[in-house]
Amino acid sequence: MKSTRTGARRLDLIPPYLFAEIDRKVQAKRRAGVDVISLGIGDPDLPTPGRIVSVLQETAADPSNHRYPSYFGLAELREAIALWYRDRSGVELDPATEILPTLGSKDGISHAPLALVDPGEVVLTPDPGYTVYVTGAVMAGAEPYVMPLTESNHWLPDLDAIPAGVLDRARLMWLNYPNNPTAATADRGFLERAVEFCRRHEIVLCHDAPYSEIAFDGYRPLTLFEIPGAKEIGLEFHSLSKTYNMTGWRIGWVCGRADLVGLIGQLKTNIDSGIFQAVQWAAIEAMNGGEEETRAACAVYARRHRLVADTLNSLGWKIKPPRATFYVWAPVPAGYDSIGFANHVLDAVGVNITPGVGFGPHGEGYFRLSVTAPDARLEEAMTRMRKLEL
Amino acid sequence: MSELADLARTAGLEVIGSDVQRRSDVDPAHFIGMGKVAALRDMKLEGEFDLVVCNEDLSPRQQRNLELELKARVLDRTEMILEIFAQHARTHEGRLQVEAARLHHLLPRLIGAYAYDRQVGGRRGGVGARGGDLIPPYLFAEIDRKVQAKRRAGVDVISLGIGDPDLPTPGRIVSVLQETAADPSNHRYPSYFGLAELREAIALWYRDRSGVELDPATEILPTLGSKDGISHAPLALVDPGEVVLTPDPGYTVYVTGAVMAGAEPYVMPLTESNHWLPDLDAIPAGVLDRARLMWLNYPNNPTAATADRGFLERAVEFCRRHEIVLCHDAPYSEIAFDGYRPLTLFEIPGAKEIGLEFHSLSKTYNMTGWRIGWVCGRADLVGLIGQLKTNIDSGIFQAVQWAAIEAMNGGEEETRAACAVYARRHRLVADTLNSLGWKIKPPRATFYVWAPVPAGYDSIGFANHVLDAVGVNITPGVGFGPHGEGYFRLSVTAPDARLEEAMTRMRKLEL
Repeated sequence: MKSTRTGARRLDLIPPYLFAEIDRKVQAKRRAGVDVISLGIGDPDLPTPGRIVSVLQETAADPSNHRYPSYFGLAELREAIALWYRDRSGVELDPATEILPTLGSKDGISHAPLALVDPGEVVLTPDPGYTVYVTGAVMAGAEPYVMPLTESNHWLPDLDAIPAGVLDRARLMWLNYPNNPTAATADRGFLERAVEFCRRHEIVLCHDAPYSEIAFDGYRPLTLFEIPGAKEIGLEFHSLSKTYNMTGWRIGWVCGRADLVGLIGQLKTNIDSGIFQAVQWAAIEAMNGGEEETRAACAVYARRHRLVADTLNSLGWKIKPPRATFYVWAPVPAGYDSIGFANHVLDAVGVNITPGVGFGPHGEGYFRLSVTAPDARLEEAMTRMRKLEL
Repeated sequence: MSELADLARTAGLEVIGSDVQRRSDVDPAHFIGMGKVAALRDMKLEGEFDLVVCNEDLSPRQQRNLELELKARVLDRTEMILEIFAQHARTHEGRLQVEAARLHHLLPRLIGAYAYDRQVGGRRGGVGARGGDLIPPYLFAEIDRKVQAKRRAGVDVISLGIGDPDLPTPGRIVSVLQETAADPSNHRYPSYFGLAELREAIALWYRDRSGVELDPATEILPTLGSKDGISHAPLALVDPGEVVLTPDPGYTVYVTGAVMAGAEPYVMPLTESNHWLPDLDAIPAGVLDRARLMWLNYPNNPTAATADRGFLERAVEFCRRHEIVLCHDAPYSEIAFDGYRPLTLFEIPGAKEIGLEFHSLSKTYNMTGWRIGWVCGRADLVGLIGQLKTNIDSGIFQAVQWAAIEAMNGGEEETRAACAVYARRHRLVADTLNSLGWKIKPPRATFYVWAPVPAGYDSIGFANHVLDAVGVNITPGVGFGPHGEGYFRLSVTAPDARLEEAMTRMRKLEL
């Protein structure tokens, strides 16, 4: 092509997507005959409940679902989401203007900056954090500014540490609680401060909440709009993946301030042609029930979290099972960096964990492990881990 | 300010007031101070105005913020003047120049513009949806509103506006979805790059169809419909300031995809005299120097034109010479009649060295709603789009991928039967229009009829007339770009009985 490069320069600014890289490595091991147990990706091993599958099967046979879906999702789905949100959080959302179904929450997260942020403006991103917060900003020509999350601050960003010169140009802030990768949770006090902060500085507060229902021992994570005033400046991104074991189905939603939701919808009319309606009907079925199923799934994750904590603690770690998410976030042993430790575990015992640095420089020194492998596989992984030489 | 008021009146506006604010410096977010914004908002709440014109140029952000705060449309001086030119441009060329200038001014404002006026929950707008905001703004939204209003008023509107097959997805494909959706291995994250089995089915299909070998591992990437690939390709391949060559009339996503990437769309006019092919030699050298990507689309939407081997060979040679990525959008490759077989890009020698082709299962297998397609071609370019997309989506629901594999492993008979239906409908439409004085031939491909509007109408006027007079919804050509002016598009994807009823009504049109 015209220069030595073939791709857009923005791709040089986007590190290869972490999980795609890990995928390749694990595949290579497997081709070499190693029985790799992957605890690398937060992908529920439990199947999608049968009632949801049945609705997909029925509605897929209806020719009215074979034609273009609406860009903005079935009205019935937006209403089901509004009802769910009201029951869940006691907050009213207008299904017509404050809710937009998306092709998984990642669709909304990656495209939000393209809809809301101009080149040269700043997007505030937590580090460690989901890499799409950064790459979405880069795609929009915006400047990601890192908010470090540290253990000493309970994995919450220190908002007062953001320089005034950055705040002047900041248009969007990402938060994510319960948190990936750290499994940290945010209390009401922090969320209130964040809302007040973003109102004062005229920043769109984007809360990524895919793990809102994955919590243990009676803990109920706050959703953003339970905070007074949040809807005036905020968006919340949800996924059906984790709550209903539907990672493969690619459906979620964004909700919040109507004009912001509308802008994302407007952008997305240029990008996709809606969501397969049979999947939308399945999502409606999912959201019209399922509390029992989610509770049962959480009981499974809680049990697995105890197993992992016991295993790691027997090896010298001092960790407590988290209150939410299916992630374990723990420091790597002395003498390792996070990639070195992940490689060591993969090479020595064939278990795939995620190096913390994959979530940003501030994740260095930690690793993430997901308890979304079937019980027998997770137990086997823990048996192998006990044999690790550290 | 009085000059601005005069300008506004020239544009047909009623001026209800003006105000000046003195500030030491401009507010970067709102241009005016927040106190002034609040005062204006109060006036707006009392219904005193619905448009604000600023006598200075606004940044896209200022304009957007003001619109969000005031819930009213905000224009700056440049837009005001362009509006007046647009209203007063008489000649075709004059209108084009105004549109070009307006486009240039609108580009940075496209994303996120006119926040207050979107209708969430609205019906799709014919083609590239709100990409129609560009030329002219609101066209599809206005058509939408009109059709909805007609329906509310009890009119039985027949829509021939959208290219969405009315025939159902074949049962064998639905069955595979039903089976595979029950398999828990399809409930987990799919691969970013699609099932190997799907990429192999595509390679096989392409070999059988076109006699061309594609490497399923590196030269094929399944996408969430072809639109996913088309809209994201410039983000993966084009830098800000570079040029994307787009056909006009054409699918609006070619332009909006370029805009999203910060690139500059450059219009290649398609004209009837050139058989709706772009005149490659008319592209200025200065543009070619910065051009990185060219969109072509044959069989063509909206013109239903086809490209012969000679043109495609010239296009390939041209793009090779100028180091341009040739992107061929081919969703209608299988919708062809009377033995005509459209060429796919890689049947042209050398095309794979510079080219990508975008396919969809929507039209071929009546799967518009399923959202699945693919991009194929030069491996490193396919890989770059794949790399970008790992940051945007998490693959395609595997049950849908298995259904797509079923679709591609057969279906020639089904596609042939569907094409026979479209061909019959095309003859009906041609007969009807010709009886009214048109002189058109049924097209060789696509399910679109593209025809000139009668003398005395522009394309929006004619579409309005048809809707008002006989309750049939067609698409004005200008919705596909300024060069579509003077034409309309009609899709034969309505059920037979509805299309026949529409044609019966059209015969009663007074022109």
